[in-house]
Amino acid sequence: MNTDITASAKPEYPVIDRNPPFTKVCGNFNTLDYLRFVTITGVSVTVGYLSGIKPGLKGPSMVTGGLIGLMGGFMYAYQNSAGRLMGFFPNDGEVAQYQKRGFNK
Amino acid sequence: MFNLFLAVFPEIFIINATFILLIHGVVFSTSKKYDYPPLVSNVGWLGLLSVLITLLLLAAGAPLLTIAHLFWNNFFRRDNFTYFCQILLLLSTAGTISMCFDFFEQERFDAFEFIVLILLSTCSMLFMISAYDLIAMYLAIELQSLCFYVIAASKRKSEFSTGAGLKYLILGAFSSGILLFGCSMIYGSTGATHFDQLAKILTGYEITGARSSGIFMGILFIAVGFLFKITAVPFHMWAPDIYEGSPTPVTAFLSIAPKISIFANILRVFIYGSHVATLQQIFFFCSIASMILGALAAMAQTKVKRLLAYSSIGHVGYICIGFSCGTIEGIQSLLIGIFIYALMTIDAFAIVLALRQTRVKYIADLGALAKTNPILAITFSITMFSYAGIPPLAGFCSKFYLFFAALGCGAYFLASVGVVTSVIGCFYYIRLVKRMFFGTPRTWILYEPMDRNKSLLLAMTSSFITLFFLYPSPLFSVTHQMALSLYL
Repeated sequence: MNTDITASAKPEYPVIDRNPPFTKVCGNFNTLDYLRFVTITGVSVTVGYLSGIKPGLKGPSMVTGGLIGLMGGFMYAYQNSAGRLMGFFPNDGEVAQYQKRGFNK
Repeated sequence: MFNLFLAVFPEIFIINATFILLIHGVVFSTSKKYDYPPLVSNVGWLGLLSVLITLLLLAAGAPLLTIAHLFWNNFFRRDNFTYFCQILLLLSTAGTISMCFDFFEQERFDAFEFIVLILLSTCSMLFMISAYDLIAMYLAIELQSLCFYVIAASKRKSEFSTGAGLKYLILGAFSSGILLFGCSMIYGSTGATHFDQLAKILTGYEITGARSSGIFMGILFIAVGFLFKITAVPFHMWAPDIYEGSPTPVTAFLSIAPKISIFANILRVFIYGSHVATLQQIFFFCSIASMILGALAAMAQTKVKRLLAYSSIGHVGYICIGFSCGTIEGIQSLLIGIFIYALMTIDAFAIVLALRQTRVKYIADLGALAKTNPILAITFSITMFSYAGIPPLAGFCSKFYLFFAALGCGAYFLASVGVVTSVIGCFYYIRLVKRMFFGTPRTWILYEPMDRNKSLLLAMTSSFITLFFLYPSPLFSVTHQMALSLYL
């Protein structure tokens, strides 16, 4: 089984780390990523709450919406962070940050 | 290792969201503490949210989704074609779910599993669109089909719905069996199930000898299985009964979503996986037969849903013109046709759902709709004119491009049949308009205002249908890229 990480699309931006580990990607979350995470979770909690009013299930529905939003928000933020490290999304911040430290350290 | 799964983040999310909603539904619908609440709307809204988040993950993560293509390429392929088909599928699913909420209330429909099955079938269709292996393709088709059999019978107190589900199960299982038999014959003759390997084996392959006949029969059976699922003539018999018997939101979903995914599969298997001229003749025949039968049979219909079922059979015929051409322009026209067909069908079924509140079932019940609800009558008229292919609406643009592609590859007979059947089709579409504006109803019905979701959906789709001709180039360039990525 070929577990090579190479993508069929070529990265358009400088590659910081071709295959960053999970902790590095999570550590690379910037303000926008956290904002995305919180926004999606917040919207999901709100939808859960509002849709739970009629059946009288506000709390549990809010929790379910929150779970869906947490998962979706985290995946969206992870996707963006990994994309920046792998060079698929604009990554000026990461380039500046890692240039100081040196790449792949 | 975790990064390998970046490529399937949208699918992972929607599967997990489906399971969360299933657990939520099971736990709280049977909860004595909360007095056994009806959860279908609650789960519906959360399901709609899940589909929109999946769409966000897909749309925002485009280049990243091609990651680890060697790992996933055993079963799935991510390219422009997959990307845009999946986006269209998710938009159609979101549109279908959003038009259901009022239906749940009006019909006292309380099965939250309906939404869970819609999400599960959507996930399977996402896999179907990206499938790059016969086994992956078949597993995804089966998951989709099993969900559809159940949701077709979801209105348990209705004999029509139960009958529709049973018919769909028997006929769907039969067509899946034929499809699988074809896949096994291909594997038996070539030893390959992966589309890359099949492309290498079958390109320029002459159909002579025993092994060739095995390959030919295999491809034929796969084609028959697919044609069954897209309701192309002569495998269309099940469609009108099942579309009429199923609950209206299910009919809307069945009319749109599986056609997107099955056409994507057809293009992958037959354009990329095998270049067999005989198949072109099969699709040529089915296209002509579907157009003719769709036009003629719809003329005799008295029920709105059955008329739309035959109309969809006719449209499948038009869309198959694009495949029959076998050129990039043909594929592009097919993709344009599917996109516009999906939007027109969402529009039509949203209107039918709005009318169903007042128990409008027959065409005769539409009488004097223009007097009681003129805006709805105008919107329905625009949709019908678009279905008929009257310029400058979107339906005309899609048919024009399909016929143009047919003429470009020398299929003059196909194009002329298409034009003639379009003219015949105008009869029953315009008959609906005539009934709405000039007819008198059998009994005067007070039309209730529709809910906000449907009105928003109708506004968006009607605007697209009406204004598409002003700026069609984004869709044309996107579908051109999709067609090119299929050939390259």
